Amino acid sequence: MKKEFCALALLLALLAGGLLNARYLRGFTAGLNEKLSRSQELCEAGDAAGALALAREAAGDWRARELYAGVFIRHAETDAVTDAFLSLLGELESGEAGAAQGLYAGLAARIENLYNMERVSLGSVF
Amino acid sequence: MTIIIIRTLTVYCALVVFMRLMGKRQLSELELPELAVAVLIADLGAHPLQDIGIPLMNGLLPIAVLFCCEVLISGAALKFPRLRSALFGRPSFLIREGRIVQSEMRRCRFTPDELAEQLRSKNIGDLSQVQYAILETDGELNAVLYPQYRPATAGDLGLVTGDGGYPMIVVNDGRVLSGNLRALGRDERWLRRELKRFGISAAREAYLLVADRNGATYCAPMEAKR
Repeated sequence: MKKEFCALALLLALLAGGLLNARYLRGFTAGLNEKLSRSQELCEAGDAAGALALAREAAGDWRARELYAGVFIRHAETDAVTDAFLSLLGELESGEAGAAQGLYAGLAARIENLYNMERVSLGSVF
Repeated sequence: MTIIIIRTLTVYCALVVFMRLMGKRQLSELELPELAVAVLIADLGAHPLQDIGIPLMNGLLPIAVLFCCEVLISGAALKFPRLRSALFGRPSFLIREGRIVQSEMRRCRFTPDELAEQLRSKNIGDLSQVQYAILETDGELNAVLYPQYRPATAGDLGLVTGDGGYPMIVVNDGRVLSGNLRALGRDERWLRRELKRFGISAAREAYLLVADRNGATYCAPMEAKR
């Protein structure tokens, strides 16, 4: 019976871990998107330097979680987000505010998708 | 390249550990839920190895979950016979009192050819000798012959046989298994004497030596290495 209890405990721990991971990912992606959203607002207002600083901050946050992302998220998804960050930073650094506007939306959608894949819903399960 | 090697070693170790924890049943005849787990685990382990873009966790986590399910289900089946019947099914009598149960044959999708084939594989050529044929839950067909066709045992013949216990390997590829030697109640002196009887001067010259408690021994000398 001890083996069964251990298996049940492990299963519950894995389930709890999965839920915690989803919760963490929600907070993390929401934080990134909030920074990007503020960066976009500054970009629209013509504050290119402020927009670049916030976008760099968000990219730094993303890079700081590289190990976590590599372990838990499909590498194709993480690579896509990294590429999208690099493209956005490139446009902001070159002062192309107009082109950057389109990249904000794409990057935000990719980041949101990371959480959507982990979120427990009928759509993600099936 | 190195990543693939490390990932392969990790998945291999995880599979060996989980299969070991699941028990020996996974290695022999599989029941339905066990077969499902075995097939799934093999596939889950292979995917992260083929595609390094998939996190290893995506392979290891489902294996751990399946391991938990297998342990829980087999434990519950042991405790609740009804659950066991529901999950694993029940043995089916394909022949009862010498009569083929045709309804059961149809239910089990078993043709007369297959029945005869399975019985032949058990050295039973004459169906009229079979009293019961049971299709077990793991898919194995077992047959019970009428008493007059069953092989005679020493008990049937009124013979008294000496019980030498379980034959144990004492020398394996030139190495003496001291634990087995002790379990047989023998010592090194006895071993040297036995080896000498077979014309062998030292244990390293014996490939295999098996003995039982009655002193019956079998010995194969080591062949010269090429």
